[in-house]
Amino acid sequence: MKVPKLFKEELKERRFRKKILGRIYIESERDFVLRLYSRGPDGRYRRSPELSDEDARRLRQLAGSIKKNKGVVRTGKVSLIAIIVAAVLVFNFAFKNRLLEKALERGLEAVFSARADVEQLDFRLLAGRLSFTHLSVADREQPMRNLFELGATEADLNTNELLKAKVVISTLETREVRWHTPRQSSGALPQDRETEPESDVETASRAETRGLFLNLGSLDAGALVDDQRARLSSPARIAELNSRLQTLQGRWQGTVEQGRNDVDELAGRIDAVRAIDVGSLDTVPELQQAVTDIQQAATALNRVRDDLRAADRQIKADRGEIASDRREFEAAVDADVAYLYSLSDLSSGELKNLVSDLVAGYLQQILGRYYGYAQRARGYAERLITRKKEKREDRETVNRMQRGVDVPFGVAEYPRFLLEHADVSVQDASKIIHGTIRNISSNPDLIDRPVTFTYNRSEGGERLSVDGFLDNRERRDTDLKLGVQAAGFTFELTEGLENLGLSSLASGYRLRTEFSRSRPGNAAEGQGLLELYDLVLRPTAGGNQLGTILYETLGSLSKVDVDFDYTVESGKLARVAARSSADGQLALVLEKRFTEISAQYRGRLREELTARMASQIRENEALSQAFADLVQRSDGNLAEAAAHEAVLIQKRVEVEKRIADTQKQATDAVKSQLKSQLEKLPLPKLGF
Amino acid sequence: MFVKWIAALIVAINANNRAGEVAAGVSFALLLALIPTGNLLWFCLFVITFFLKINLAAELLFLAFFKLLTPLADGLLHRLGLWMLSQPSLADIFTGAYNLPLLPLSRFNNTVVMGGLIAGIGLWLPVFLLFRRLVILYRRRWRDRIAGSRLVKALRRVPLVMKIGNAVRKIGGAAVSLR
Repeated sequence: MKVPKLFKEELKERRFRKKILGRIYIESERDFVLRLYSRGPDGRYRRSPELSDEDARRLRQLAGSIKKNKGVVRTGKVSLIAIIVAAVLVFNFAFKNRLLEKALERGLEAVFSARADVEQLDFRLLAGRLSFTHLSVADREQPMRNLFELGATEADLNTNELLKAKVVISTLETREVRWHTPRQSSGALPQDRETEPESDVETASRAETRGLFLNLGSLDAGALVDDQRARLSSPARIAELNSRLQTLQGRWQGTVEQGRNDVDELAGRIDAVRAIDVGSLDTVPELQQAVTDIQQAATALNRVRDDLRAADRQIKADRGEIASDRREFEAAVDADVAYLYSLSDLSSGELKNLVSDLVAGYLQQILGRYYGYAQRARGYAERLITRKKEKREDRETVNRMQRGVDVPFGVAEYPRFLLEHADVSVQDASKIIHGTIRNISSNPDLIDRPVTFTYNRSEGGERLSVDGFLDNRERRDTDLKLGVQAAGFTFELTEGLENLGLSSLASGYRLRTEFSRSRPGNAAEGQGLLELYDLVLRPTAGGNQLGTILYETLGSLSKVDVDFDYTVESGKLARVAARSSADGQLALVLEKRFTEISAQYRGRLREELTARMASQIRENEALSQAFADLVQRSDGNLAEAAAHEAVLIQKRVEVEKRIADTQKQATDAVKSQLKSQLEKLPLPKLGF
Repeated sequence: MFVKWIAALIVAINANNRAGEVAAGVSFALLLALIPTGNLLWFCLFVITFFLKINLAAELLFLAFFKLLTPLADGLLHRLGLWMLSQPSLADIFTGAYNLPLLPLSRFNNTVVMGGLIAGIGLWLPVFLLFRRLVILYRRRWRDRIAGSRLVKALRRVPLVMKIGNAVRKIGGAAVSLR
């Protein structure tokens, strides 16, 4: 049987003692080996040449156990660990960045409720550095636009905290940031698609059509008429009048048509009478026939004429009533105009604060926009906050450890997420943008600091500076403070100025405002100063008195200061009160020319009111015209009947004359015959 | 499981293994028994022993045994740990360690854990030397005597001992001879 290599035939003494005897710990085994090896005179150990199979087997077992006794580490298990470490390294190179990219996207999507995309993320654990080339987060309310986009960005992470499953970003730097950029695909998350908000195009068009809403109270004649329409009587009057006209139209249309038919039928009879040649009537029967025809035509004429006269009387009575209603409608318009004017009592001082009201309307829009941004930022910050107790309780309570005491040591406790400092800086030839955000955290109470932010932009002559804080810590009175300073900006209004008699208003402005929101009662208020300079006003072409006054008064001022304050209720900008330095001067001018403005305003009220009834008035005019035509046709029927009557009368006179002539001729003939017969009688003659 | 551990221990004591392997197993068992479980320190020490050539059967068997006894020493361990953790000269080291990643999970700031660690480390070498000596003595003086004694021969017929014997044969094979 083969003997293991360890037990060579000849071994040096040192090797024999160290490598073999030194690793045999059983006395009997040691004796066995010593029996097999004998020490020679040269000090070398030589194995016995005669080994039984049993000895060889025992030596092999011994060799195996000696080999096992080498070293203090189990190489097999260590190899397993090495394989695991290698697998971790492979994962690190192949999948880590991809998985982190997805995790970051999911995290951002959870916060912003919209699609987030991260490109080329690179995370180096040992260096604690994370970078990406591009990041975009969609706007939930406008899925076809991005809320913001970051270019190449680098972030330093606290590796120690990362190993505690806490993301602590000490600094985040980006050199490129953009807002509200368009997207190629919708940024709505799948669960939001069913209730996908309006598209970007819809929003834009709505914003365009909405135009500017200026806080001009009742000076807006059109708005006042619309607002008070339910209380006005003239619209109801004109509707009622038109309805009545339509009813009468229906009724008299048939009657007049019937009269026309009767007249036409009568015309046939009259023509027959007209055709009688009175001179040719020689005999009594002929005369008799002519008299009969005339008599019958006269009877028919009398009937038609009576009907026509009765109808004519009634239609003219209705015409009178309609004319009366029309006058009542016009009186109602006058009354409505007077009522509307009473509501916009211009003398009560409304016009005196015209500039303030005008500016307040504009401020309501721009401050509302800033407040909207602040609200959204606050919402996003709140979504980060878990309010959970982040320090986990030990899942397994160990009694023995409870017998001891946990000795506290000073430790920087971090929340699950903390962005200590983010910095964005963009600088090129045309603009400089610098913004910082500090202390965005999932547990503001733990770090005991609010989120603070600054934003400065300088582009051309325009400078905008925004700073403030969002405080989501518990037991804090003020949870939002926002300061905005703008200078070098210009604004130009071209819409919504018609009521002021202006076609455009442009100005440079400086704005300074501070806003704070108190947590108790969600009360929010702010104040500020708006300085307008380089005012350019263009009056409308119509010669509006108010526009002229504004043009002359404001155009002469080099600067207008507007102090304002505002409040927010139920998450919306509820009230903006403004006081302008131009109010006093403007009031003085307006007082002098109040009568003219007042008359012009009445005229505009009337125009606006009649404009809203324009279709009804047009309908009324058309109906009135149609009714007048009916009356005219009724008159025509009557006139024609009268003409027929004249023909009959004339014919009757002619026939009567013919009868008289015929009677006379007969009488003369009888007389002549009688005379000749008398002459033939032999009557005595007396001669004296 | 205990039968297997006992068998493996018997194999280790009687086979051609280093006496230090068994002794180290016992020393680590004492260290692990003195430190309360449920913290990263205990887990790491326990895992480390799997990669060292120590007798795991001895470790597990003695760990079970020492675990029954160590709660009696908690008061002493607490005082020892408190003394160590309260040393002003070490405060900076402990503070730094507490701010390191993962290290707080070792609960080293617990007085019983710290006391157990100190006592375990302090006792590790004496216990190691003691048990190593005992194993050597056993192998040198008692092993053959015990194996050939009447008592052992009688015990071999006891079912539990037979079971252990079978396990020993399975684990140790021919390398172990209980002659």
